[in-house]
Amino acid sequence: MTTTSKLLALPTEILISIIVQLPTASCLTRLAQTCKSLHIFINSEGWRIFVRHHHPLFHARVTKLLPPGRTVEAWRRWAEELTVTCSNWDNFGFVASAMFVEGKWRSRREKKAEEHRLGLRRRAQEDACTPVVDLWEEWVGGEEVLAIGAGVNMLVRRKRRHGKTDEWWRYDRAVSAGGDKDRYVDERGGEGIAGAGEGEDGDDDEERATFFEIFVAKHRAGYLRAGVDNPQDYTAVHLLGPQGRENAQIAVVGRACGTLEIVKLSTRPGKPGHMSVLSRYETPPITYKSSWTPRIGKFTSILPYPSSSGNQYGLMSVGVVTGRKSTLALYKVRIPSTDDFQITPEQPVAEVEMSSDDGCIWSTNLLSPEYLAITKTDSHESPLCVYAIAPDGIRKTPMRSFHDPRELGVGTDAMATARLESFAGEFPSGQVFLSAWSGSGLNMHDLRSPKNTVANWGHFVSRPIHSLHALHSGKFLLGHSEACTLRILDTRGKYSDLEGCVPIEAEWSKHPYPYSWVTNFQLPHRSRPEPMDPIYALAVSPWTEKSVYAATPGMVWELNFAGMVTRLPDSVPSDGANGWKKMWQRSMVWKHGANRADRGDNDGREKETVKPVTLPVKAYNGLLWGMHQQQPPRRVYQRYE
Amino acid sequence: MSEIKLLSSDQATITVEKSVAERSILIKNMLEDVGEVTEAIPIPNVNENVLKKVIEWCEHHKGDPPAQADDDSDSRKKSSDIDEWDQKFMQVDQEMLFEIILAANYLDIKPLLDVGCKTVANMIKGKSPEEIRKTFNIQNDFTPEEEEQIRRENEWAEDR
Repeated sequence: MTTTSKLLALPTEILISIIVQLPTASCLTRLAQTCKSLHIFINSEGWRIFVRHHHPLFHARVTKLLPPGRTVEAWRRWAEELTVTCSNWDNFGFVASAMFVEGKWRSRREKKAEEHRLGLRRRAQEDACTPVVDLWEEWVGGEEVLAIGAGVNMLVRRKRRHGKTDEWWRYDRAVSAGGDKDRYVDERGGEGIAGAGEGEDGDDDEERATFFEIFVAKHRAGYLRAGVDNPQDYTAVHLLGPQGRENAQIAVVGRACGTLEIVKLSTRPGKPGHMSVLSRYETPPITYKSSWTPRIGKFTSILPYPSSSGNQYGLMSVGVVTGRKSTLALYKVRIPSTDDFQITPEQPVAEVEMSSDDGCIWSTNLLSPEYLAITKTDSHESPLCVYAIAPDGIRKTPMRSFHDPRELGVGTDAMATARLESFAGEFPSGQVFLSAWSGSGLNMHDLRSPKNTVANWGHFVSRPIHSLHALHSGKFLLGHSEACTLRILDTRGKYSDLEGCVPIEAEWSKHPYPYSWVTNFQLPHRSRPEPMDPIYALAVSPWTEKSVYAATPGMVWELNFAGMVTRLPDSVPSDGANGWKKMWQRSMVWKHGANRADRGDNDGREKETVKPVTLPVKAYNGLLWGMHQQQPPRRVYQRYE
Repeated sequence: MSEIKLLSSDQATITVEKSVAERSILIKNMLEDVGEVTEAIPIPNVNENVLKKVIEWCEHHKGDPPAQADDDSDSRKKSSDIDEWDQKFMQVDQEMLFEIILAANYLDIKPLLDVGCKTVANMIKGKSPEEIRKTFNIQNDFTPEEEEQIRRENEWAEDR
């Protein structure tokens, strides 16, 4: 056995070609376990090749960012993360947890009991706040930043990969926020006198002093009293990333009064959150006061694109309804480099007024720096149209308009559009997009095809579809309007042959839903979800797609697809779906054991923190609420601490 | 049909059709640069047996459409399996297999290199580290502790 292996004698480029041909990560790890030289080679180069071959889009994006000579260890980490996440997506395996962003209660029942004790009237279901969420990943998934705007609270969480703890910050109103919209303060002040003998102002000071102890019941009661019909201040949040080397995040937030601001959210460890307004956008004046005014922020769309000039971030489109008129505005997003308080309103790059006879603008979505899609409500002619963006502004007439084939001629609303990022290099970015319609139709459009739709999905029982989010991998998420139902579909079974823009009819009829599963969120000690709870918004990790956040009334659900090494159970129950159902029922009574024990100790460390109450719900996956296709999860990979 | 001569490393002369030899980008470029040649083209890195084997492959595949200039990874991924003739062709001892791969690399015959690499990849696929070592005659130079540590840090990839 003295002759050296022929395999080891091969030149590097051939070794690379062999690695390219290896189908799975396990082949590569086993090869790396054979000897030192292969181990070193695979760790230094092999994983990069693996990622390049199996996740080409991720590889392309990372290499664009990477400074030359970046550490080699990272590729192995990314390969692991992407492989595990991908396999969890394929097997419907995730760990869910619920965050009560409104208060400190573990369940609605507890919350209601507390409200009853405090003599508050029970709030109707619709009064629960509508959270808005956004997610940002730093260092290619190394750190996750979550921003939640819930009612009048803005919360930010930073979670490091493998970090034991995650840090939370809560923000009071922005320092230089205009006085035009502090309805919350007025009402709260007014109500404060009638409060249960507690000085509201004193409360405020105390709250600032002990910044982490905010969700105390007292404060909570004041807040609830103030929220006669639940103040909903934050209507949108878009994270733009960190500010330089500072511990701060830049975000665009939409407020209930109709302003759009760029704010800086400080995230210094152990320090209270501090929000300051960096700049504000000049939006068309809103005269149409209705419950839908908050749309201004909600359906703004921000499209990042790299630019040579340092602080430019991308484009932002905004649609505003003023009276019977609709206006479409386009802005350049610049991240201010300093935070001196010279706020000059940002002027729009382009503004287009739309004719009032064909519906009102509902949402805008930047498909790419060249195309802008808008949707309208109550439109007969062009409920969904695409405008071309020229260097000097927006073209006045839409270049394409689309409709729902099943509701031709009826006044229809396109509820949401989502652009489909290119996956595996197949779709040129921004040319292909999805639309959800108020009649619950779900269509896919291609700007290069002369057809109205290139693929469509069946009508769903629950309508309208509230949120729509496309992943890079070709999957997309649908947030339904009932029972916190989240549906995951895949476009690839339907539409992958781009050459002739032809959907794969044969495949289609054979498997109407090639990759499709449905889950809904419910708390462990509740038998079923609230029947009318919609999923308002969805946010997915932009790089690795390892976490999904879904905003439901008063709560934000986190689905973690990045389960780590250990996994349970080892075998899929043989009796299929029923076995799984049993398993979930068992897991329903799972308690937050560690914390319970801590509380029992009562060593004076019992504190309410800024952190929303989180309920990790283990084995809480693919809850068979499948209305179309019920399939049991094939295998679940979970992390057990 | 013009023919050319190739001179292997062990001084054997082999006559092949020009179109067959031009499956090799190296020879093709050389012929384009030099023009008409009457004497044998020396292939210093490849011996007679291997050269014959490579030419056999080229003859069988001479009708194939020429490989695209920008051979992106996608097109290679799609054709993940090897056709039957190639499979039979690659049923040689390991030394020959690696010689063919090296020759294909040297002569710049991309499709043959791919077939060779796929064959090696298939030999790795589904095997435990110990089996891979046995297959390729690799010396295990890890200490048991190191081996255990590496096994643990690669645990995530099991059956993925």
